Amino acid sequence: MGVRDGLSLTLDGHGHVLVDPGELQEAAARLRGAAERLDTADVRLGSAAWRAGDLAAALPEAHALADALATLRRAVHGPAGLADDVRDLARRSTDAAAAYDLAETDAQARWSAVVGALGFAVAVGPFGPAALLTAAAGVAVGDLLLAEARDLALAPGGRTSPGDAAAELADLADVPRRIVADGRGALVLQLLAAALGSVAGASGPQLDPVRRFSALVAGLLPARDVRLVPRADPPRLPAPRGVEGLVDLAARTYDEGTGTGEPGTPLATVTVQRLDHADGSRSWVVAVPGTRAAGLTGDVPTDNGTNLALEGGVPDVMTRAVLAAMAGAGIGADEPVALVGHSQGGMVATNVAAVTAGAYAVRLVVTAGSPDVPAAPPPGVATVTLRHREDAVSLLDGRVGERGGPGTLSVVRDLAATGGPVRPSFSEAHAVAGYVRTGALVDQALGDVPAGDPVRRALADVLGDAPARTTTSQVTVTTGSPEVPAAPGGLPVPPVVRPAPPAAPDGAFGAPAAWPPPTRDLLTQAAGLGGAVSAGPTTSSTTARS
Amino acid sequence: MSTTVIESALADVRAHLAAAQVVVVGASAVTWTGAAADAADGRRTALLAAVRTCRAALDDADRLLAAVRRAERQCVLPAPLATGAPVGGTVPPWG
Repeated sequence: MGVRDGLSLTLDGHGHVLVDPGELQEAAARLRGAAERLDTADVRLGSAAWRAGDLAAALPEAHALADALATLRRAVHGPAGLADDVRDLARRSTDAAAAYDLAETDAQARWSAVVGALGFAVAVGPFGPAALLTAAAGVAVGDLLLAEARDLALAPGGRTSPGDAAAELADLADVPRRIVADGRGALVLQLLAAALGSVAGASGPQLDPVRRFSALVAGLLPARDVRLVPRADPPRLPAPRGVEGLVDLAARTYDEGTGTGEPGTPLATVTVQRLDHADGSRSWVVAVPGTRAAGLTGDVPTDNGTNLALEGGVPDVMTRAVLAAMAGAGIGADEPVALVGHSQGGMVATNVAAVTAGAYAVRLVVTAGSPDVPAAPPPGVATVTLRHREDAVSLLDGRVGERGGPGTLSVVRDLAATGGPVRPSFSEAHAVAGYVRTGALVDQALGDVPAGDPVRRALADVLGDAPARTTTSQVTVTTGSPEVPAAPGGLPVPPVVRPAPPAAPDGAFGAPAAWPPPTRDLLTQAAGLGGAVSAGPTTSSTTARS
Repeated sequence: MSTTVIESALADVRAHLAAAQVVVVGASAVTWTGAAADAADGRRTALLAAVRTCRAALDDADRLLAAVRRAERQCVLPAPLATGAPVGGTVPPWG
């Protein structure tokens, strides 16, 4: 099993651990090779010692040589001893690579397929969903049941005291927090998705059940049109100076009803910030907030309908809106861009980076508390994924391993051990304010990252070496009625037309929907500047520039 | 001669040792921080010190080998050649 290319940064009570698992595995392989060479050296030394001993029978002067060589062979600093030490070093490197490997293990990679196959197999019977739900419950509380069974085995006649019962109830109440912290939550989610999928007919035997179920539900939702409303007087937001500043920009982009949103900021607002550097160059930062509405088809597009579409890999309104906002802001094709988002916003940022490959010079994507989406940024785009170990939202993709594609700087922070709440609630663990602090910790740790690392290069490309002059524009995204006429001079945004729910004979799904769409077509439509607008109902939008 | 064989073997040992040293030094360039990395770094430093000690021991062995080689030459040099006597006049006791 190979390891995924990328860096792993763990922030816990022992400080930070930064590991490049791929590098470590290569180093370990080289060390093992060196140990083998030292074994060979030991054999050669033994041969020389034997020859010297043989010679000593005739030449008294050779006695000292024979003794010296034999002693060296037995010494801890002899080739054999050194070979053992080098192997130990190789083992340590391999262990660290395995502990911080970003890639799915073979078992993890097979898990989704197994769950999918299970869902497919049991769906034919009337008890299929029940069996899957039982399996999910077993994964969730299996450790408690095993502990109970062990106690019964050790003391079959033992009686439970009131204190024991209270402790058991506390353990039971703590299950959600524990299965999130140890990653079992993702497995439970996959089983639940497989159960629901088996009911709805989304049980492809070889497919990720979470994605397939999300795509199925998202495909059933009605198409929504997007309208971008420019903010006439957007706040003056500071230029980001690192990962902390980037996440802070996303935090300030939330609506004023939140703890971090700037006063007057409406729901579902997107920030596009232009950075004019002293050397005349220009770069951009696009910040996207997360989910703020529980519904599936309401007027606020940052809702669960968008979450399902993003997770299922089908077209979503927020990706389309951000593309239109970027086009409207006038981002040049060769001007470096950083995309940052919290929660759903990170999923959108990743999607946008994937869709705009070759059209914009996206250098960096920063996601905070975001589940993975099927699309991945293209090679050359540095990615930073921030995740709190106690954050349940980032597990909603059903993934077991770390987040982000190849080349990602994957950050996992233990909130309780690094100055966060001791027992954070799910909302505390997911709060964007906590991720701003995590960004600050990442900035501190970046000093240990090689200067040529893609993330450091991307940060320098976009943010520059010195503070830049900033121009902030914001647009508010709404999903208005298709009948809303286009505003004069506005920016038409094509409607999101969802593909029909994937269907195939015998209840199995066929090929996944074509998403992301071809970049050129999408950008032409999103920009709307002379491009053809689809025949469907459209609305208009503009962007504001401060 | 036996010393030639020993010399060749010790040269091989040096070559393998040098190669291993390069790998161990190179292993310090990987991106790895934290307590485990610090521990590994300590092991690496100790290992490189051991490599130096091994090399010093090989230097000592080389000096001893040179002495053996000189003795071997003296023994092999036929006495008749040195004295002008006919070749084959002396047979070494070990030969």
